[in-house]
Amino acid sequence: MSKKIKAVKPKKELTEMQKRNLELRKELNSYVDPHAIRPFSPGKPLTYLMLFLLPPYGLYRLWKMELGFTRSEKVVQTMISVLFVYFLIETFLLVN
Amino acid sequence: MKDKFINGLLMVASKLQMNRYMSSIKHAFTANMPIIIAGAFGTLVANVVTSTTTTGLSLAKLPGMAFLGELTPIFNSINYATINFFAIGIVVLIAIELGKYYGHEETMLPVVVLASYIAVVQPFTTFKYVDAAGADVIATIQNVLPRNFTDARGLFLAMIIGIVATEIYVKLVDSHKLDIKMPEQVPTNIAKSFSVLFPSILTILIVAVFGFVFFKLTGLYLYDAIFKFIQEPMKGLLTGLPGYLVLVWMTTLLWSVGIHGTQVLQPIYQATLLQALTENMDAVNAGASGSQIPNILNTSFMQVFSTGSGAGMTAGLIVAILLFSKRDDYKTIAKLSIPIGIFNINETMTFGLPIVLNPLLIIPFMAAPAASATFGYFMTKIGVAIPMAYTVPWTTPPLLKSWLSTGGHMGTVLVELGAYVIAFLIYIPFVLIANKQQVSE
Repeated sequence: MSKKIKAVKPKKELTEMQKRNLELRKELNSYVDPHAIRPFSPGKPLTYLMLFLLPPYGLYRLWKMELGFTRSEKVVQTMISVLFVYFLIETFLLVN
Repeated sequence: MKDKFINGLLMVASKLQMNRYMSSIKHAFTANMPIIIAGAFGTLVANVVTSTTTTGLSLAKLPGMAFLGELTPIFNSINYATINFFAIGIVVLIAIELGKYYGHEETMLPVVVLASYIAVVQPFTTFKYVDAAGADVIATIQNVLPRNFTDARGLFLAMIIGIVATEIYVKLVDSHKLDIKMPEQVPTNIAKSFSVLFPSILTILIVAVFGFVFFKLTGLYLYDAIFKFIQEPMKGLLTGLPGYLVLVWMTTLLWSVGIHGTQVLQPIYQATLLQALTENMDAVNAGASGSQIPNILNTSFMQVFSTGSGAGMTAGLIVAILLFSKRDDYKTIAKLSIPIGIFNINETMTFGLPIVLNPLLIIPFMAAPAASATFGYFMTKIGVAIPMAYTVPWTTPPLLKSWLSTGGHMGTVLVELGAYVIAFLIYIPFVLIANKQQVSE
């Protein structure tokens, strides 16, 4: 069985613009964001669950355990946890 | 010409990626994502597991399972604490994230920015009721924070005030002209809180006065103006099929020159598409189901029909390669990509084949997600699929994702499967052409 194979073209020298583009792309893809947030790194999903199931333990995991939570995550998760407990108490008080 | 175009794209991508406002918005939404997912989970369980009142399927309606209904307040509280405070979370997060860029990590900053936000919203709400005589009466409740300022409808105002108030605060603090000098005996933390006292008061005052003057000059509250002239047009654009397709093309175009298009464009579309999703969640909470859910195009739709198995719907390409490719290099990379493709990661395909800067594969890479999104959109329009009202982490495997995002609607799962078949059909001819190409060493 014969295969049709295209002839290999001789490699051209890259233009200045192409070199600049390559550099720019490399720079962009290798850029490490110093403030990047990884919300689903190990240990974090369980903390989110605990903040609703057992809020005190969830808060302990959030603030005291070394799970890589940033300050932003700690603040906003705490806010939401406090609001959740507040609404839960209010709802049960209203219902009963 | 081609190089100039690529250069232009790279420059735009670079500007977006390095821009501190865009980064702060992106980080704020990333930090808030687990909260949105928790809210969606609360809505999902409240409607599909514990509800005894909604019209759709629910576990609690089965004989002997009615006790589950007692748990509804827990899931309603999760939903209330998360989705209804979306904008408040974003104000605080933007302040913290933007503050990091200026080296301002003091606790006072997010507090001041949140106070500035509250200072420009209306502290009252009105509602209509029918009195005993049968007449319509409009009543006003004073000193409350209406929900439209705290939930997704307040997002754009939250983003704008978050950035503006942080900038004012940082400029005032860094000028050191308003510092209060304390005696050396005063502890550092107390001295610090005094040094930011006047900048804090002035920041809130400037934002509040601006909101007041704006209202006096235009007759519109800042929120109403932003909602009417920025947020709604933006939503109209991105939750309409043409605008959405342009967004999908822009994302894949950036990918095709080697830039993570989804991440770069996220700050531009995320607020709008998340707002659409939270409106759907609200509708479900209010008893809507199926086609009554308002927004077809939202973040979950994007995850299912445009970036399912990774940008470019590359599951279609993997199957096309495994069935039709005669190239060993393609087959090896496709096989390697299966386990990570299940979790919607496809860098092995984009950079391995490569798709990046490969004129042959760029065409289907841009066409497949647009075609599958169009298919998903029209299937939802005619009722085969339903609009998605829940969100899941982006790494959730295909098919499971549409099942969870719709609260277990099998029609939508089949439509998602159909979208992959369409992507597969689009990729086939290009895989066949690639067979004839010389393998570059």
